Amino acid sequence: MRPDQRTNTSVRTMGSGLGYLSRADGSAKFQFGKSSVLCAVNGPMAVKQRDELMDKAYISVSFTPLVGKGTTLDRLYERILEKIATLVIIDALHPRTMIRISFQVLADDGSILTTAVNAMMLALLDAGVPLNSTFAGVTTMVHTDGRLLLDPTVIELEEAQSVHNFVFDAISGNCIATNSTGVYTKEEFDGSYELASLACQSIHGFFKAAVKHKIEKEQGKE
Amino acid sequence: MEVDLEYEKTTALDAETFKKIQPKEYLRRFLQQDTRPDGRAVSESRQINFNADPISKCVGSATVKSGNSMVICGIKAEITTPDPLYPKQGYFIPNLDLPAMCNPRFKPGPPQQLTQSLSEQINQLFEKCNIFNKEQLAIENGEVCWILYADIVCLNYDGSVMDIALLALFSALKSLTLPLVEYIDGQVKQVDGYRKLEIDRVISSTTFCIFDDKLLLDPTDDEELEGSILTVFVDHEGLFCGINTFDGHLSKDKLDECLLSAQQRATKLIKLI
Repeated sequence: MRPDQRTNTSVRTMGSGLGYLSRADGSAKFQFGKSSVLCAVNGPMAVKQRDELMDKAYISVSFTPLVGKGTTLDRLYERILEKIATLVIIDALHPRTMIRISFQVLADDGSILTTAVNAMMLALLDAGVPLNSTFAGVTTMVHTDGRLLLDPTVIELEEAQSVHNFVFDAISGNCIATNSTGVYTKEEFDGSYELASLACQSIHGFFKAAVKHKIEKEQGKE
Repeated sequence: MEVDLEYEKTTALDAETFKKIQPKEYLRRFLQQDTRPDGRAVSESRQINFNADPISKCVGSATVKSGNSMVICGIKAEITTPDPLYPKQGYFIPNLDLPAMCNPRFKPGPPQQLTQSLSEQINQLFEKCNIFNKEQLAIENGEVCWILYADIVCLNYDGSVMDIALLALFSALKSLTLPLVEYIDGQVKQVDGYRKLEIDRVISSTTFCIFDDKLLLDPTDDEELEGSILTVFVDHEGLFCGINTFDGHLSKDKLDECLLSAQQRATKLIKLI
């Protein structure tokens, strides 16, 4: 049993709010327990000449942490999120435009990268940007005592031997992004991979319910 | 039908032009023949050349060249006050720079996102993987300690820069000699002699490019641009220290293939250091 009464292989309570911001083309808030990230998607919109691409949309990502103006870790997160967005968005449909994706961390209680990944998924769905698949992300960690934990909190991460972030494609079931740190064996990685793959399927089920709820609400069916 | 050879000659594209307008197809044509534009096989890496201690003013330095990619690493030691949270430790600050001279894609000015994210990946290795005990950098508990700045500068960017950056960094760390000092009455004085750092874990990285479901080992810049990149970090005992891939469609079998191949290459690379 973990400090917050969860089992080793369960994620924290998920929460979402689609269309959270009124002025963005698409926005969403996603929560894993107390970790919360807000994502706004704007575009296709005008692009600076310097960034203009003749055959596809330019995708710009900015990630703002809870405090301060951001460290190199936040730039790494930006790069990961930008690469995932570039892979999933059908950018050839909007050449010579820009799609801007902005993140704001609202509360940090661990697993912030995958919270942001999931917020981005919901915000892209909310914005109606053409996508070629959907994805979901989850973090796992191997504790110094050997336990494999899903969706760790800040307190648990302090005793991590290794931390693994995974993003899975919902259609093919393939892993589209991983970022692992710490020292670990092949077996530990395989265990994390299996666990994350299963967890992503249930997170994807949550996305479906969230989008369905929003559409029903818009159409007045409570 | 008779072929007008003169006409064919004038309309057919020469290789350079074809590469510029259809870079993906250009690479695909090579891979169909199980070879790559620079003549290597799909799972063949480039020749690596070392040059130990090229900078005499640094406490440790190295240059590493792999094909056309080249980096130089220099470690500078300074004296400072330790972090109040860790009074027994010194500092180690690794940094990777991709200046505008190394590739026309990079712009001059403050470090860009790619540079910062590569730097952060190296930083994470040193924070999370217990590479060496930073208490070796202490001089006087809570008063003075060493701060090591490890600057890795890419001179020529032709792909797989993380691999050679780590080789350069670790070979500079291995050749590093710190002067012996004494702390007397609030003053640091140099005494005769030098000491070396004990390195507990040596890490190497292997970069792959995933293109059309093929795994290209040690990709060049042109190959990196067309496919997605996977970097695997392995230490001297064959344990994994990190895996980064941000836009690859990888099945578990392909991923396992990469991990195994990286483990095999790591033993070869670490022998070089």
